Amino acid sequence: MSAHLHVASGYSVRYGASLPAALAERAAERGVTELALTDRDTVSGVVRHAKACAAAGVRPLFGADLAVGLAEPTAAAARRRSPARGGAFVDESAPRITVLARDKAGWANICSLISAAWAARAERGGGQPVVPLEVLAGLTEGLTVLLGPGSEPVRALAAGRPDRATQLLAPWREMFGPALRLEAVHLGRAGTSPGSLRLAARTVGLAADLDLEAVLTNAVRYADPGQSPVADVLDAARLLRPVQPGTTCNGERWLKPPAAMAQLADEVAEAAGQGPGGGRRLLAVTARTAAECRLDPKSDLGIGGVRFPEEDRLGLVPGTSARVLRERCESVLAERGMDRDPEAVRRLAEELEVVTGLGWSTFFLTVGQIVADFKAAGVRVSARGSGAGSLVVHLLGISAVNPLQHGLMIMERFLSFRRRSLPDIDVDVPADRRIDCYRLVLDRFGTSRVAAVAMPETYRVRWAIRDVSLATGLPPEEAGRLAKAFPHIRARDARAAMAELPELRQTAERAGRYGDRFWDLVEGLDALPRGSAMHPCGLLLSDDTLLARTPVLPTPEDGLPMSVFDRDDIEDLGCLKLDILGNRTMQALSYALSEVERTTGRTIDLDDAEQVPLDDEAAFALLREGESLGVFSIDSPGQRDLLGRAQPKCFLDLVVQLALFRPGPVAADMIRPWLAARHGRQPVRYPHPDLIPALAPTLGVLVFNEQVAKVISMLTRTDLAMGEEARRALSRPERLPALESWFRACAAAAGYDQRVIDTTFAQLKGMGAYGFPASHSAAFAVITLQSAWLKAHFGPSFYAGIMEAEPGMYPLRLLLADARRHGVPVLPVCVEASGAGYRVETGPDGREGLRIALAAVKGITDQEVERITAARPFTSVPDLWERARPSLPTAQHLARIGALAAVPGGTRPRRDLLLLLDELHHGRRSAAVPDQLALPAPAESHAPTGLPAMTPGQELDAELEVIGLDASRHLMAEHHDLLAELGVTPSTRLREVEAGETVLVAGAKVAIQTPPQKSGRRTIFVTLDDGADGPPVDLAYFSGPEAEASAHTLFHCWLLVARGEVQRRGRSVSVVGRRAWDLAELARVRAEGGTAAVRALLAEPGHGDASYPHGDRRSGGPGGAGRMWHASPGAAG
Amino acid sequence: MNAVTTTSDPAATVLHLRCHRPSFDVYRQVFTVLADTTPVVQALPPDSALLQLGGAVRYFDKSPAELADVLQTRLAGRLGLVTTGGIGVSRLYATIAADTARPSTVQVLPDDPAAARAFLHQQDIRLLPGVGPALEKKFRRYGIDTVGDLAAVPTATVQRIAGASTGRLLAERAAGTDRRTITAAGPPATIASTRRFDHDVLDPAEIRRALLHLALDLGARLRAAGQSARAVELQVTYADRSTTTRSRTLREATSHSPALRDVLYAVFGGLGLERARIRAVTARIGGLVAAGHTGGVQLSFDAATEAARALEPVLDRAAARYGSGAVAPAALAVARGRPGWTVGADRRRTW
Repeated sequence: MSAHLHVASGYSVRYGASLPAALAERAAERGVTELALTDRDTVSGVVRHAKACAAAGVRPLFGADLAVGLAEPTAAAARRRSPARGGAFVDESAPRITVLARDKAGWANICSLISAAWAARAERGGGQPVVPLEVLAGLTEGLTVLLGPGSEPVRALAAGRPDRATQLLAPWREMFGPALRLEAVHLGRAGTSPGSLRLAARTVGLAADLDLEAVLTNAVRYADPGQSPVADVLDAARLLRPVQPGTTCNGERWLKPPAAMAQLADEVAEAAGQGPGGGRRLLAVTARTAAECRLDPKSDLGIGGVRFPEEDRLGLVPGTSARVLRERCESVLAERGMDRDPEAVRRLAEELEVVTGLGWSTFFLTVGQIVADFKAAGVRVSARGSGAGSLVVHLLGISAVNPLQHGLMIMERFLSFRRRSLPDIDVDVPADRRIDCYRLVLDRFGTSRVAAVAMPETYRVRWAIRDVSLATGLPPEEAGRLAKAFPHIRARDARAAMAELPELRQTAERAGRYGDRFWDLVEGLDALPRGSAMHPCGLLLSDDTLLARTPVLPTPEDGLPMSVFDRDDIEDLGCLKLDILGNRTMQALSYALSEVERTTGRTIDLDDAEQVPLDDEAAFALLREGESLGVFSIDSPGQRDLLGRAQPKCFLDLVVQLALFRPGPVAADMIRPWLAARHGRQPVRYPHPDLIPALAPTLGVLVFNEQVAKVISMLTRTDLAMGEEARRALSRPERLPALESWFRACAAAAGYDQRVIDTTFAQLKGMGAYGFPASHSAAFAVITLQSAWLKAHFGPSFYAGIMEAEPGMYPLRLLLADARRHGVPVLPVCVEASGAGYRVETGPDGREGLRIALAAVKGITDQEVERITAARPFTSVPDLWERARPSLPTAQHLARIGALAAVPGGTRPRRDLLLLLDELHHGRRSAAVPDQLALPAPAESHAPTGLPAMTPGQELDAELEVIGLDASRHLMAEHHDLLAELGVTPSTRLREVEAGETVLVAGAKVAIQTPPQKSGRRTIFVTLDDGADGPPVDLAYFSGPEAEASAHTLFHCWLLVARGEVQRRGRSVSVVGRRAWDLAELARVRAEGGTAAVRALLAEPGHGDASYPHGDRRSGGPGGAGRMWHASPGAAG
Repeated sequence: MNAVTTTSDPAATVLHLRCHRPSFDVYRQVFTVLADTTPVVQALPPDSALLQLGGAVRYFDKSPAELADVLQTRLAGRLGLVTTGGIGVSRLYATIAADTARPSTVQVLPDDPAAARAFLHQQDIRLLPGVGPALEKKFRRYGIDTVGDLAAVPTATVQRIAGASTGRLLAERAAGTDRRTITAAGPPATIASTRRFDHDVLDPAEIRRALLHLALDLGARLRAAGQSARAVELQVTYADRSTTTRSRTLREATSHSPALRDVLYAVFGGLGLERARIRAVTARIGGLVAAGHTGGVQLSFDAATEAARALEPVLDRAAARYGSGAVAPAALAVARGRPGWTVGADRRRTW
């Protein structure tokens, strides 16, 4: 028998250097039979520990290393002055104890102790999570406590005060009685410091004197002896300071084999003056302490079980959920008149059989109840993912999509007897209501059953480099540069990446000067957790034993309870997890509907097919024109291009299009055959007549996950559940060979000829990459259609919604330009008229316009917005200053964009207003001194100041800087004369140009993407907005010397002029780019040197990748509020 | 002290000379070189000097540009310094000319006031002496980007922006008027001592050891020179090469190391540094006076202080005989240069 009772894994954030799997493996190799996991202030590694130990054949013990309050608080330390530089030390002064759970009650107590520590920390507003002693006193059942060198009594011992140690031990003896152990740690450190032989001996000696029991641990921090430098780096990262010479780990805290531990025990016993039996006794007590811990991972932690909220939380009599589910589904079926559809009845029966067979009816009823709660609170809900393909989910009102409608969706994609893990049901809610929705769930089920899910952040290369640099004392800016040179890859790939990636070539040349050691450490940090955050959408539900099975921590922002476990752990612990995603388009739709109601009094139900038909002609006409900016998931350049080519006419077209433009169908080259078949250029072809039922809705082309499953099951003569399992295997390269031989054998046995098998399998293989299930695509298409419908029928409100919610990839200013193009006047920010949000406002000409929100102003606070809207109208600028009390920067921003023009006296030049504001500010500051006569505000002088007036260009700059939008006019307007002189084709005229003709186009860059291409070459896609009334211009620069010469300009300049050839595909027009110039530079050259200089610049060869000075501040981007263009690798295709 | 007013002299004879990164000691020696040409040299620490060349032009019968050329050559020859300069009719013009000159050249502004003013008006507002970062930001907000823009704005408005006195001064300067004179004055007398660490130091004990070392060094140098200091300045340099500087003026001038040490400890303690990564500490002492001219020493009844003072001459003699550091406080006897946690091929870590 040999046990390690005090072991920290990597889940002790920035402390432990080995993950649980490595620890368990080493333990087994070295003959350690019982391995505890006692992470610092958390237990988030226990599920992995339990699984790793089961795999390695070691008995797992569970515990935690906790910081506890001081029994005798030292005299309140005088408030330390805050350091002039560098920040204060990270406080780790609280004493630490180790607790081990002997049974289920002990485990529940550990969970409660950790929850209490973090709650106390949140209350204090930060610092260490410390368990208050009075809480500890009430939660000692089932716990064994080890008081080691970090605890208060042993600290007194180290200080040479056995008397105080005895005194301090009294309360611990009272609390834990026979479960109290003193922990001796012998790491061979000097003097009487923690880990020294002398302190270990004193500890053992004190235990003997007081008739207590002592155990020997190695306070393990890493699995292998060589890992102590990694632990040093983690110390540095935790304490936020470089490694200090003399405080480093001495390399002894590894998982030592039993023989080494026995040797240490003998040394300690000898030093304590005990005979040779002393060491054996020490080990025997250690083994007995381990043996007393009888916590079973399965029954006590709940690993492997399934726990749903109790049925009475749903208002049901326990045990009736299966019946209730059946009744509810059947009644809705009858309500809809679907009970006469034999297909529906058969499908429902099948689904219910699987659901009740697996005992999951409570799960469906719970989600149904949650969605009903959301709807009752006025929250729009939409199910996404495979769950939308289930009839039960539809009948319970979770998903609006009827899976029977298109004959595409199958239940097996979602659940089957072959897949025993709980299915995912993901719901989308408006982004601004997500936290409200969490609270609704909490209200219904209570904090004892609901918690948010944690998401561990693990070390990847950038943070690994930063932290190793900190530890080694590299200058911060050098560390930052080095880290940022790397893409977001795993830390262990750092050296491999430097050897391979061309963009890291320069870094690789310099890498040597940091030494091999540096890179060893970077790679040594790989995958260790470095922090934990709230998962952006996951919520877990359980029965009311949740708090006895997981500690919960309050999240920093919202104070929501968060479990320490991540998504995978939650699944193992058998909790129900529900993804509630914040969807910005849904937020935009909700906001737009409220604007419609405010301005017209009409209440619209978007989900009502009477009001919003799924084949609305106006909406589809808009989409066919490619006018899809702001429309959900269909406004990327690629999707807009596809819209022009596909010319969708009905809802199913949308469903197909959304799924087509994904890596899977693109890799399988499905877009062109679909378009050809759709426009009748090619007859619809099927690999085999047997596949007609599966492929007919998509004209013989594989688009959806479900079709892949159907095709496999048809050709292999297996059931759909097997087909779905095979489909999942497609995306796993390691499973592909086995799958292929199985598929070929089955299909051949079924009598298909070799040609059919070859072509089908080639297509199936391509579909292994990411693709949509039809259910998900249909659920998305509903939102797409709804947003297109709003855009077509209630333009101003639609734009107010999308400006408010900022969905999609484009900068807001493009959406604003789009509004202007669609005849919606844009009304600038005005303190008298703007609301907190974007508003629809009827202008003097009776047209509905879009008023920009006060909240768009950079740096304005909610309180300022509230005060301004509450205090208006204003009688003068000083009146606004007095009553709305904006901060000086906010007031200056407002003045600079002309938002004060509607205030009496606010029409004077904007810079005069700035001066007035400055003076008002000084007046307020001097008046702020108490006991001073408040001077009347300086008389408002209307005399001209002689300051230079802002030029139109400066006004535009101010707008871009303050609200990130060119609200008063399009920013290209000032260049229109130059563009006309150059003969640039405006976007309105582009459609009239013959294909293949060379044109010049211009505009502000709104998106740039470089998706990975099948050929491996770089293609640059750029979208320009030129301020004419046409849609944005899409350009593609295919790889070649010309494109490379323009690349720098394309990536780094904002306003561009481009030369290229017009290309037409269907109704889509795009430009194949050849050259590009910086428009700002052209404008400068034109102003300085006239047309001759412009000609010279246009004739120059490209700049290549060399950097060159920018003539104009705006050439490189405005650097103001918000981003001006979208840049990403983009999607393939 | 002789002051020369430049307003009466219309010729461009003021030279502003800036040295490229002079070390503290080299900068002091610059003035011996410059004094050979003109007696009217004003030091502008840390790197510049202002010269009135009016007399020298007549004496050497050379143009200001030629004189500047000679000076540049001499400084390069004797001290290895690269210098950049500007020549104008007043300190204002000379400074701006130096600020806009190409490195290692001297820019000569025209004598013609209108042409010189036109040059001035083209310049960025930031270059106008008296405009700091805050005022620059403010001016730019009001659309004032060049000196010419500022000159076009009524003085009353400039005063509303920058305050009454600063506003008037800047409006005057923008119009090309500079009332400042050039006063012959060498660099202020200071002594400095620096300790660098080969790794980031956080340990207060180690910093205090370094400070003790600085105090001993500075005290010994003061006593050797027979001087006392009135001002102490501590500069802390961090890992990102930024610095914090704090200074203290003493109640009475001193040359005693323990007194300097106590001041340095107090100043450092006042910073309250905890996690700051310190790379170097520099102590400077200024306000030097000859030791005999301090006007009496406050007597102390503290035996330890008296003993330390009595011991000091002995230590100094020991140092003079056996080399500095022969006798040192026990705290400094701790071996320095323990293996550091530093990286780099030349400083391989040893852990």
